[in-house]
Amino acid sequence: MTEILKLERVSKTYRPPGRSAVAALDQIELSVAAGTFKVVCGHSGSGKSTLLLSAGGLQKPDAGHVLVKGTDVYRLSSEKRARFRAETMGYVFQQFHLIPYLNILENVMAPSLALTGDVAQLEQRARAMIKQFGVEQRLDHPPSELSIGERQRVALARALVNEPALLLADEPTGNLDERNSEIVIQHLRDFASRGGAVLMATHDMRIEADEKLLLENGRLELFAK
Amino acid sequence: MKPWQLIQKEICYRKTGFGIGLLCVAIAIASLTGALTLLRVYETRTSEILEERERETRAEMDRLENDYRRIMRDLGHNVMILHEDQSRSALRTVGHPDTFMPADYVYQLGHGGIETLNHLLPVLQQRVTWPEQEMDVILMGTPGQVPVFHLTRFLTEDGESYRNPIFRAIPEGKIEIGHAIATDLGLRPGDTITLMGESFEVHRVNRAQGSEEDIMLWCNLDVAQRWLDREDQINIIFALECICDIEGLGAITDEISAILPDVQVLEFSSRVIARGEARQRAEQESRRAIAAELAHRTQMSDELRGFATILVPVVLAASGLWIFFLILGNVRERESEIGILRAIGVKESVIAGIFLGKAIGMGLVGALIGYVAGVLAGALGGGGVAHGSVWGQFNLTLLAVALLVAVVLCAAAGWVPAMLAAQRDPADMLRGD
Ligand SMILES: Nc1ncnc2c1ncn2[C@@H]1O[C@H](COP(=O)(O)OP(=O)(O)O)[C@@H](O)[C@H]1O
Ligand SMILES: [Mg+2]
Repeated sequence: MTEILKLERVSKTYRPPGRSAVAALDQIELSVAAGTFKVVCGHSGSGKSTLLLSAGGLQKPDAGHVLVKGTDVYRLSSEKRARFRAETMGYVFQQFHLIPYLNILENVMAPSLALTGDVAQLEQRARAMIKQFGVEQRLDHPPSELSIGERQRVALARALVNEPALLLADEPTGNLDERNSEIVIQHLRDFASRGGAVLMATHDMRIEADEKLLLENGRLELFAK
Repeated sequence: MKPWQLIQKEICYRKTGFGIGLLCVAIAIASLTGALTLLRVYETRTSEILEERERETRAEMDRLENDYRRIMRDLGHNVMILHEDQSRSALRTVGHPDTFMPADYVYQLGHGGIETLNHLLPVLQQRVTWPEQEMDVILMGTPGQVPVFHLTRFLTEDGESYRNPIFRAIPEGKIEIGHAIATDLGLRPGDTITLMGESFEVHRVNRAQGSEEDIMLWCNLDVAQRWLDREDQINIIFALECICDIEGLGAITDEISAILPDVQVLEFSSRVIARGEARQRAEQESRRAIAAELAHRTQMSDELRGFATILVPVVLAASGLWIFFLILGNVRERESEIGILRAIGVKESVIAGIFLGKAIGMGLVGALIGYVAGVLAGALGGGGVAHGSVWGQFNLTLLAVALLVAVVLCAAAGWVPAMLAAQRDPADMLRGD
């Protein structure tokens, strides 16, 4: 199976001025292949967000390499890395980060700001995505008029509209009730089953996945398979 | 989606902030365009007023000039040019000059480019007895005034005669008589008289002068020459010495003798000098008044300009600062949005462009509002914009200046916040918790 994401001895230590240093990631080794759904578990403050941000090219680690589809992301210039993110990755966060003044369709289409491709085609995909996530009745509503669960599904649609190879989900169910969590997780699994690579961070140890890892003291251990 | 669409939608969503920004820019631009318009209106008004004063002065001067001419006419000419050989005493004893000059002399003088003389009047004068009435009169034969040809401002368009002669030619078959003659013979204008066997109509009766002018009998030069058998001769050229330049008095003899070497000049101008001086004083007085008015208005406009050069930059700086904080606040409240845009791969330059673009949009729209408000306020505040020219104050150059200043102001104010937005660490904005 093709390896989509690979972390090689990735380390990150926060050194807030005047306070003690926090070693968030310590020599992390990780790989996510196409078609797999991997979960990193860990309690709050264990470094899950740091791991995902590093993997997504949004936070340069102190040491180690992050390879996405064989490209060392931090070797790219900031402009090229942005472009690379736009084309190969999708993100979902615990806070959905929907843009308040755009309606649902516009939010899902926001990646067109970074993409050069055919806008009509993207819109078609956005509409299909919105339908797939069951929020098609809310196309022209602002995010504030949606339920929490619906908002996360819109965020998910936005993450997938560019057909990324890698989906990074940082506690996507953190704000959701059980039923909505189920739905979101199911969508992530579906994406993996269609050949996507999913890396999800959660503090919920019960979530079923192809592989579950535990992040503790900046180190990653296999937790369940 | 394009960045400008994002800007537009965000503006519609956060109207208040944008509105405050617009107001800021509008105030700044209004103060700028208002000050510029006010100054221009004021200066236009100044030149209008001065032109008006100038016109009034010129009219007044023309009036004085006319008065002066009338006075001259009443007083008679003030210069007499006689033949060089004419004895002064004979002039008195005989009662007229008994040495003659060619009538052509007056034309030589007229064409000689003389500066100090005007209104030349060639005369053939002789004391005679009016045979039909057995009355002693002074016969004055004249063809009327001969111009000083280069003083074209006094002449008709063809340059051949005076626009306002102080002495009009005596028409063919007519005669002008002094007051004493008229009284003695009971004559009035329009009456017919017989002189040397010829019949004439009394054209005019001159006003009483209390001098020998009262017994003068004016006729055409040709007629006098024929009667006196003095073909092509005259014995006096009367002239008016210009008192326009008091200091120039005395230069006259030199000037005349340069043209006509064998003549003498008699001046009896003192009576009119006072008039000339009065006229000059009046002119100086109104020039001084105009200068004072100009000085006053110039000082006012300098003060206005001084005030504007302090006020406008202060207002510009204050609104620049305000816009800076507005955009900075906008960056703060949009951190989540900036984070996600970065995550989905929007370039830093585009993020900066979104904020800068908003600032510039604010500048452009604000500038338009401020421009209109400023020009209106300036035009109305400038006071009594003549000829309803409030609309005339709107001009493209000023609009271009307004737009340029607003764009530079907003771009400068928005620059740092926009850079901050672009360079914020997306990780900080996305981590959550
Ligand atoms: N910018 C930062 N400066 C200092 N410490 C940080 C910063 N970001 C995260 N940390 C610390 O790093 C550790 C890991 O944080 P994070 O990756 O957010 O953990 P998690 O997502 O598992 O809750 C925490 O102890 C947190 O306090
Ligand atoms: Mg986290």
